[in-house]
Formats: sequence, C-alpha cells, structure tokens
Amino acid sequence: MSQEVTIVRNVLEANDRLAQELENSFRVKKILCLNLMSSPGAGKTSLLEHTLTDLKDEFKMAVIEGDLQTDNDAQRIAATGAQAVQINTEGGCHLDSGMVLEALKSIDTEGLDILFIENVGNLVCPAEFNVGEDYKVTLLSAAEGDDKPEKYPFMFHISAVMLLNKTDLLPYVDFDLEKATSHAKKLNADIEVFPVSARTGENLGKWYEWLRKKRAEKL
Amino acid sequence: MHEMSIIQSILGILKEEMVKYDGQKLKKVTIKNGALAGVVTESLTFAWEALIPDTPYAGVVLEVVEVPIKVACGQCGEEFWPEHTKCMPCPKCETLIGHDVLEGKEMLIDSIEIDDTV
Repeated sequence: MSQEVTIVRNVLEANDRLAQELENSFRVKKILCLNLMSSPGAGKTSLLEHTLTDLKDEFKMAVIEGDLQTDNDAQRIAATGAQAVQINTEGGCHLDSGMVLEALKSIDTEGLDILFIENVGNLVCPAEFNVGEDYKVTLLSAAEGDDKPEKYPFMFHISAVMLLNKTDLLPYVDFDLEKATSHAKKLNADIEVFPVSARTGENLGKWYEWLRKKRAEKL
Repeated sequence: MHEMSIIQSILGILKEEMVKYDGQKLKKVTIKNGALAGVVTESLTFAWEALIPDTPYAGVVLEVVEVPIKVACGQCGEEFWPEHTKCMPCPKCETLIGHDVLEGKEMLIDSIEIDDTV
C-alpha cells in the first residue's frame, strides 16, 4: 500500500529564505536594492555607467555584476569610481541569493544608498530567483524587437520598471514603442516604462527621478 | 536551463520531508508547474533523470502537472483562462490589458507518495 501526502511547498523556498535575509538587512541599512535584468547586450552595464557617473554626488552606490565569465563589466563599473564586485557563475544562467550574500562580503555597505545587482543576461531564468531586491528592473533594447514582452511575459510581469533602451536606434529599426509598452502592460498594469538611450544619455532624467523617489521611500 | 537548480531545490525539500517517514520508501513526487513560471516540463524531467541516480531517490517517479494561466479581468473582475498569452481579451467586457494573474505562476511540490508497507 502507499500513502499520498499533500505537502505544498514552494520549490524555491530555500532561495526565498536567503532573499528574505538579504531584504531584511537592506531594510535595516536603508539600502535600495535593484535587480537589473535583460537579454545579453541590451545595455545594462552602459546604463549603470551613466547612472553611477551622473548621480555620483547624490548617492553612494555599488554594483554586483553577474556574468558567466570575465570581469570586464566590473572593470567598467569600477572606472566610474563606484564599488564593483564580479560574480562568475561559470555557466550558471542566473544569480541566486546565496551568490549575492557571498558577494556582499566584499562590499562596504556602510552609508550605501543604492545597490544594483546586474543579473546574468537572460530574459528567462533570473526572473525566478529573488535576490533580496526591492524592485526588479528589466531593460529591453530597440534592437531586440518590440515583441519581447509578449514572448517572455513572466519577466515583464514581475518587473516594476521596463527601460526601453537604445532609443537612438529607433530611426533604423522596426521597433514600435507603443506595441512593446502595451504588451508589457497586459499582465502588469503598474509597470513603469521609460524609453531611454544609455548611449546618448537621452531621457535618463525620468529613470533618475524614479531612483530618487524609491530611495527616499526606504528612509 | 535553470531546471537543474530547481531539481536540486526539490531534492533538498524531499530530504527534509522524508525525515518524517523514517525507513519508508518514496515512490512518487507530484509538482505543479505554472505556465508563467518559465520552467520547461521536459527539461525538468530530464534534469530529474540526470540527478536522481546519485541520491536516495533513484527510481522515484516525478509527475509534473502543468497549471494553465488563470486571470481576473482588470476591468470587470471576470475570471477566465486565456487561450494564449499573446492576446487575452476578457470574455465579458473585452478588456485586453491589466489582468490579475490568479494561477499559473506556481512552481511547487504538491504531494508525495510514500510506500507504507514497511
């Protein structure tokens, strides 16, 4: 004979427990933590380079960089003067809370205002793993096509912000801003959409305003 | 590709649960995979087959129940199962966007089956 036992346990609860731990420590230290996600090459690091440089005098910021290999991105971030720690996942397709806890040991969180976690470039897997962030921010670049929110709905469903990057390319590509926006809002009416260009710096003001507002809410 | 990590998490939970059934044999695990969870059932099964031979659960059957997306219309509250995620008009008021997702995000272990003949 066999017996069926209902247990109903979230498969990712071990990760969620660590994420909760991170979240609590960020709350106590009043650090705004953002999980930055996108496909590879959508412009996460360029966006951070601009942000870290432009808001240098306003906030103390640090970045945890996730990549399969190399510390290229951490070097680019460090060049702006911000603290940067590189995590190499050695093939892993996402960051998890255990990796972030480990990386945090190398960051001086004293007086830190904003921590950016730049996830591995991937529109699927990182969506599943919380890393203690206050908000998930997803970048979509004009070169990728306006159907991405429709194709990868979960990522856009759980993000607070969608940054539509590389608007400087709009005259050259078939990217319908309105279409991308309405697809993203289909399952997430509250998602904030900011079209920007991390290359030219165009329209980054709204993104900075959002950062200021969310940081103030943590105080 | 994160299906491997998911199976590893499942194995961790099974280890905790099975402490309660000392000496009894686990026969089957049923998990629920929501259509929005971004987890591919075939990859899960593959990862399971690849990982369990080295665990105490070799031979245990993994059943994956796929849960369709269920939403409540953001406008009128009508609950429905959209046919696909591309376009999901409310059957009552035809609103296209801003629905609340009620089901379809889950990735959980629903139940386990234990041999109690020991």
